[in-house]
Amino acid sequence: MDAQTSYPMLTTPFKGVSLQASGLSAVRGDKTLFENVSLRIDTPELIWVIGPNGIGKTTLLRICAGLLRPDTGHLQWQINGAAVSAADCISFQPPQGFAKRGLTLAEDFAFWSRINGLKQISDAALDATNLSAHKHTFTQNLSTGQKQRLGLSRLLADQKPIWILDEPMAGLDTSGRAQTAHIIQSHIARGGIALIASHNPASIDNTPARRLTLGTPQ
Amino acid sequence: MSPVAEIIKRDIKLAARSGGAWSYGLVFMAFFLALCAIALGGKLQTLKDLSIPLIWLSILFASLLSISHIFRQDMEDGTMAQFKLARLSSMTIASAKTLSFALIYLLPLILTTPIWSQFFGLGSAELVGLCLALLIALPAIAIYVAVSGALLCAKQSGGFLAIILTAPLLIPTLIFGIAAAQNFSDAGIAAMEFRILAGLSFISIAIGLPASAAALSANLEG
Repeated sequence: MDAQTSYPMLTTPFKGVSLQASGLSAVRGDKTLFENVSLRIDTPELIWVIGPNGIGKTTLLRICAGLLRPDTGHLQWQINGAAVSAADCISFQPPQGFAKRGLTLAEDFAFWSRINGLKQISDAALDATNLSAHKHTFTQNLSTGQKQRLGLSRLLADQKPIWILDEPMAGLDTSGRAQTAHIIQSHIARGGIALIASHNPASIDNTPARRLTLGTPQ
Repeated sequence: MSPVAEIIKRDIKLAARSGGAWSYGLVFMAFFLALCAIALGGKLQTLKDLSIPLIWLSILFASLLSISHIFRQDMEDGTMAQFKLARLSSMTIASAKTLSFALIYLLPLILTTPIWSQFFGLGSAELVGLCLALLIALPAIAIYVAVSGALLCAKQSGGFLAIILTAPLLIPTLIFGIAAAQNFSDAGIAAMEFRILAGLSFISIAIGLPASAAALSANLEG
């Protein structure tokens, strides 16, 4: 875990990052998932999105990541006070990660590094998530925790300031949760923002956190 | 390397490790042609006369079999969403996936055509004509099949709908593809049918690729 602080690339601070959402609502079929959700994050901060299953947490996260269009409402992402597109500032991790069956961990990691236009394949991100020993393991043979950490290592390599994570701690043991918490803490400490859906929010030391509860009056 | 080349390289690697999923089309083609030969009574002259249309049909059917391989897996495992967050346009994704579909699933069908043609006693001039026609029509076949793949990639089923959607688009290619192969021994590559076939392929690039890209975008935001 200490590896993370020893690579300057992973500690360069982010500045002036914000995510503003106003009046978001989402409808699926004839069911309204949520209505008039507003959210403003403009300081380094962790937001837990909580609520019962089926209430629309994943939908809200995908909307905030610019992957789904809200039925009403408006979203804006900013870096250094200037509006940017979702692709400029957002890393999104779905619940099971998105490792491709049939590739080894190193191949999968390198593929996304090249697709994201990174100049070099950074071993630092794999070191920081303790995955260097599993480089030649096929992704379908990784444990739940290793898959989650592979996802986190891509977020680290990608260097985007807004992390949107869907259940990043699901299925992890105590040490896995601690490791994930540490990585998220370091991200907030360098000026980033994290929006995380979870049934079981962990308390992360020295990290400003708020809760956004779906399913109750805002 | 460009993202298109990266995606094609990855897809070829995945296909090679997929336990032979790329070869189902070839197996289907072999069965289809063998069953046709049996159904037609096995007379060599009948088979020879019908070999070009039968090989064309077998390739079109085999390509329809692979519709769900083009976009669905990347859609389901979240890869498409990540492509979008990596600033790849839908057009880039559609082009890359259509190209890898053509290389992995369609090219082997065309490359094995000389083997099947021997079973049907096809002459060498007809064989050259057939292969040329298939290669010229390859973009149209790949792109129109990919349009259906893109439209249906977010649905769990829809194979039947895919055939209904794709078949009308492929009919002109089939008509002129067969005619081009048959006229090759008389008029060579200058035969009018070859030019029309090339035109159909260019139209598919101009219309089909943007349609696939639009369908992908709609399914991603759906």
